[in-house]
Amino acid sequence: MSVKSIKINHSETLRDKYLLSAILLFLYIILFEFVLPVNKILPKPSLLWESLIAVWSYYNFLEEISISTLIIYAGILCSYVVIYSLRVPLLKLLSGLGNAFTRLSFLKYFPAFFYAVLFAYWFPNSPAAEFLFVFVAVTFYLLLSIQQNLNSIPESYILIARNLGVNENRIFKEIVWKKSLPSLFSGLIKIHFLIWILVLLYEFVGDYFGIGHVYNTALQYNDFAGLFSIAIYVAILIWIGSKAIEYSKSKLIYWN
Amino acid sequence: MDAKIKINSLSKTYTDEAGFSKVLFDKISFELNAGGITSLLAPLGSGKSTLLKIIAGLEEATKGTITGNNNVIFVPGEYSIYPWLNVSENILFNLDEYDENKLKRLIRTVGLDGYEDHVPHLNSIGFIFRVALARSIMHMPDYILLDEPFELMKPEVRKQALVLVRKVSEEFEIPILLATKNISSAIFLADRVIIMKSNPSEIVATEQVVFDLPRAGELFEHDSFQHSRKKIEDIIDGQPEIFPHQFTI
Repeated sequence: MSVKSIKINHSETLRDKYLLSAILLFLYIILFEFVLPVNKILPKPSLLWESLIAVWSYYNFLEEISISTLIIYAGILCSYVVIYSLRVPLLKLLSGLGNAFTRLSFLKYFPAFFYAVLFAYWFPNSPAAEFLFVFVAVTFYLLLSIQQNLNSIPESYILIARNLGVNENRIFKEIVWKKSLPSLFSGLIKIHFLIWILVLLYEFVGDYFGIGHVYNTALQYNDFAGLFSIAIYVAILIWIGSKAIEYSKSKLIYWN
Repeated sequence: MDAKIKINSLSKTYTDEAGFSKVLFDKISFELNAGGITSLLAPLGSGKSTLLKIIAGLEEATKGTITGNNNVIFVPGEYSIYPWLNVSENILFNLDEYDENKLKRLIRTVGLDGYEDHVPHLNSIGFIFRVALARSIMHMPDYILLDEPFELMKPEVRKQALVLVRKVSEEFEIPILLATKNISSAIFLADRVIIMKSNPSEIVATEQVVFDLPRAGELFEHDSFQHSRKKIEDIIDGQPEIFPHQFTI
């Protein structure tokens, strides 16, 4: 297949995707605004539009969304900074642990909801605790991603370095760390989605601050359109965050 | 020619997955000359990679001694450069001081002109090999050990790489030991071929290789090359414990 035909296929796929989205949006507007009565399936488009503007004042949304967003991305950033700063001892520790650390991966089978509820139970009404929760969860997941990748580092990379007289610390710092970066960023992209869910759950259960608290309030008031408006804004935030991480990865890492 | 590296009664045993002790090679002895190129022609599983790593000081032998191997560079067959470094950074890896003129001359000799700032993580095996070869020469070793670097190369790329290795060895006066199971590569490159068998691994023959023609691309088609290759094949065929199919042509 030629390069030109691949580009044409990609353009056609994008066009199809936008076309499908446009058709679905059109059908939604026609059916739920003009044809169907008010129902509990989807909100009326005009009400949804009003709600998209009203949620900012009605729920003090700017403050709540700032709290959640700040906690999430500060937690992710701090996690990366700590891992980067301590990369040599951490990599040595992970190498020494062997598969022992990956045996903790059974924790992923516990429902995410459980961890959010547990943390809300331990530390109710605490943005600091929420930040700590994000930091611990992201750090654990990133270290797990790195540890799982350690076995795939080619032995020859280490042999070359040792042969050229590179000391052990520098091998971990410049070779093992660099080779681990792609898997770290892949792990970060995955945990980013999960962290949003966990944070929203924590705030929903705790019901004191954040987007989760706004969700809880909207649910109590039966604000059907409000629930959808909040979801749209959260989806936009998650999309921006994902793109930012992917962009960072593309700028920092060009190897696999 | 004086011996530079002397391998004396080298033995290596290892523990297999079932926990049994296995002998990889036992009491291997040979010498590597202070100049020229030597090929270690050995089949798969004979321990040639392990032997090279022991000579380079990257693994321990179970028994035996090696002398003269203080400054030896090992070039693995795969993953021989770092994909996050550009060509110059790879060549100068862990070098605190270097001769700028030598670097330029070396880059020109291996055909990497204009690629100094290029990051070779997507390049071909032939390109990556040139960078790895340049790095090994830049560190000014007493010996370079090449561990099957040509196996994954296409035939035309392999021929170019062989000519290049011969050229840089002569130009920079660095002796080379090549470990390979490819007969053509072994005899094209080397002044001397050491033939090993496996199970257990031991040296069965040593042959000098001399050509009247320069070792350039045309040599592959010449009668003298075919004659030398046939001679090595006959030696291999004549060994009852060697299976010819374990080698490639």
